This record gives sequence, structure tokens and C-alpha cells, in this order.
Amino acid sequence: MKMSTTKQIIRQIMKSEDSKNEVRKSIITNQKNMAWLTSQYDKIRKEYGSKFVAAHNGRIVESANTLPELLVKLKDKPYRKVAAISYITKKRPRLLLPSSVF
Amino acid sequence: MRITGFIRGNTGFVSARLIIGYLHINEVIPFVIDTGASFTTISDLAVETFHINWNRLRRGIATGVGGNCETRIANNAALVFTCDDGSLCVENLDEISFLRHKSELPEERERAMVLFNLLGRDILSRYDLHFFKKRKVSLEK
Repeated sequence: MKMSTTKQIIRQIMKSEDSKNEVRKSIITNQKNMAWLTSQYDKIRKEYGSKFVAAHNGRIVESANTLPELLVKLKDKPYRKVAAISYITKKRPRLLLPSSVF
Repeated sequence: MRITGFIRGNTGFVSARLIIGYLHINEVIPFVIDTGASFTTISDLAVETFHINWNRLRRGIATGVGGNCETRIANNAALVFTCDDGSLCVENLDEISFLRHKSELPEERERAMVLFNLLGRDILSRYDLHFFKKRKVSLEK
């Protein structure tokens, strides 16, 4: 596989409107998915506690006990690159950083 | 130029495309806006999700409230954000850190997996940062 540098990849993205749109859409969709998923943590904890989940379009689209299992389930899905992926703890964790997210 | 994210609880989030050519990384990931982090840092979850080749990264140590954690550092990274006017904004980073907590103990792995990617001051200092109470966060320049 030919290796591109970061600069070459950026140049490739900026070259056409189609590639810019693809990047734009992927970022916006991931952010929407993350906004939805973080708003649902407490609601989904009972069903998905101790699981890895992927969220897309306002729902949990896949879940698994391990991250590799989840990635296999997502492998051929069209939303694979834009889904929000997270680990759901059974109990609300106390983190010094973004604690109130949970 | 303005980038808008969302707030959940009291934490700001924004998504971006992370690009590192020599590691074959070109993926969109969510970040927590963290004015307490010196450097933008990629979490264990993303490291494992994108099968980042740990051996191609330089060794480092991150020090935080919880103590030290092994990190690895990649060079020549870029983050691509979407701006409110529809344009794309590219931010280059000479270095970006990756976290990987070593422990295989289930409770410690669980703790590592809930940590988010951190958008640190190396990027944030290039912008004016505005938090709009409970609604949105924006980075502006």
C-alpha cells in the first residue's frame, strides 16, 4: 500500500468539492451521534451496562461485550466510520475530567 | 471562522477528522474540550478502535491527577474541523499523544475505556473559546 503523508491526504481532501463534502458530512454525523449517545447514557445503562455500543441516527445500532467483537459487527456497515462508539459502565463512574457527562 | 460543538453536562464536545499519514489514520473522532490538558490526546478506546500501530510511536509519559500513564507520541498529525459556514478548517500538530493504560485488570480496563479523546491547549490556544451555558461551545478565530 502506498503511504501518503498527512499533507498529501489534506491536499487530496481539499482538491474536490465531493471529498470536502464527504469529510464535512462524516464529522457532522459523528458529532450528532455523539450528542445523542451522551444524552442517553443513564437511560441505556441498564440494558447495555458493561458493553461497547455504537450509536447512529438516534439509536444503538450494535453492541458487544468486547471492542473487537463490536468492530467485527460494524465491519461492513455503511455507518462504520461515523457511528459514535462508547463503553457503557454499569454504574455512573466518578471521573475527575468529564464526570457530569455520565 | 467558527467551529461549534455541543455541551453535555458541563463538558464541551466537538468532532474532528484525525489524519496521520504514516500511521494510515484518517478517521473522525469525538473530542472533549479540555483546557486542563496541555496536549491533544487520543484515548485507549480510539487506539484500539483504529488499531493504531503502537510500535511506530515514540515513547512518552503523561502526568495527571491519577499519576503517570504511558503514552506514545506521533508526529505530523492534522485535525480537520467543520466550520459553521460549511468550510473545513485544518489544524496541524507537530505532535499528538496516545494513551494506553497497561493494566489488564477488568476494572482498570473499564476505567480506561470511559476516557474521552482530549482536545488540549495546543489546539485550543489558537481559538477564542466560548461556552454557551448548557447549549453549545464554540471555537472562534
